[in-house]
Amino acid sequence: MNIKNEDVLEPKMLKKCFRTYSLLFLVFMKISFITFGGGAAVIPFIDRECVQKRGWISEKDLLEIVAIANSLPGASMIQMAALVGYRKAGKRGAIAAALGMALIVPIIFFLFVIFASFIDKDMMKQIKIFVMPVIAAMLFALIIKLWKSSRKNIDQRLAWVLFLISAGLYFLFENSFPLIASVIMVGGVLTTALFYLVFKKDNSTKSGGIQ
Amino acid sequence: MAIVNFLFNVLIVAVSVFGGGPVFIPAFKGILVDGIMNAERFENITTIVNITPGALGSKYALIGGYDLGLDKLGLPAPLAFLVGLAGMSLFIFVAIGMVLVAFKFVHRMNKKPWFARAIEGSSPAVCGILIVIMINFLGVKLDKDLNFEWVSAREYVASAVIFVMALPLLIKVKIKPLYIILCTIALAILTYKLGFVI
Repeated sequence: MNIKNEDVLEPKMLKKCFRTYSLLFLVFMKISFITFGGGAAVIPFIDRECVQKRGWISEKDLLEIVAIANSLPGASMIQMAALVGYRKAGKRGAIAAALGMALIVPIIFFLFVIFASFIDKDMMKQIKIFVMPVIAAMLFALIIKLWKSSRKNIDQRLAWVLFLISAGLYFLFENSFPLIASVIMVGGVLTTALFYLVFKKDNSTKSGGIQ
Repeated sequence: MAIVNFLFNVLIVAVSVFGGGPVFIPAFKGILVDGIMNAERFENITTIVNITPGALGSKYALIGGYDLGLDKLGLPAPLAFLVGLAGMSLFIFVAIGMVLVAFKFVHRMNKKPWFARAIEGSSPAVCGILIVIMINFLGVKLDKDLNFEWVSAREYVASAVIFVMALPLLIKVKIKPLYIILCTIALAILTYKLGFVI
């Protein structure tokens, strides 16, 4: 009976898995084609496609993914894709998403090898100059969303202090100190954890909570 | 031996360079210039890498491997491409491996309530980083020596105008970002063809 059931279920499950991996691959391939600027430029697209549109990950997951990818060495764009893929469909999902994100590279390579004489570099530069502000606007929309959601979880004074210190440190040292993002992320997590632990302790006899 | 050396260098870059994006440029310059290609070729590649979509480091790994195979080892183009593909794959799979190990650690920590809460509460720090990246995309950034990297006045004005136009379309009108980007690309090509080069 079990064998019969497995016979019926396995192709269905395989088909479902295959569909998930294919979807992860295609979604990240689509994202990679419109992501100029590398690294952080991909965040608003992941928010749009994987949080808002498909619900593969939550906003909290996105924060975690950004924190992990920015705190590790290596290609953060690929790492963010892999983390979303892993959340959605395990290790194979991670590989499918990362490969989807990376496929643009050989395609661009072929385009530039085959059509090198037809491609106008100045025009490509103009396209980049025009597209980057749109991605900046997407990032701004994401920042507003994250800020609003953080109001539920953290004291607003602490939030402003963390925000201003992080922005100041990152602006000053992003190019001169490669570990600055990791330091800010770890510092942010530790400060909030400390605040939470102390606050919780102080309020154990009161209502409790971080707000 | 040259291929193994190249792959080893790519591995070192993949496990040691933090930050992503343009941070990879000096790292790859160190392993590609003089050994595999000259400075002029590297500059041309850097232009292409920067103006096209996709992960910067992977593009350097692929093109570097291709040049090594084609120019230094005299391999036919398809085999040289395979060398590049090996470099790119190594770069990608190292990144995936590291991130999955880190994720498992974070996942374990997430079971502790204070850590889970702290991650949620760390969003102001993430917002702080993102706002700087947003400002960078509009052409304002500091270099290694903390001096401003100026772009042309035209570029600042164009960036500001497009940013101000795109923001309400995204937030209020809620037009899909893909459509806005496609329209922007069309506008960039049109203005370029009409001779308005920024």
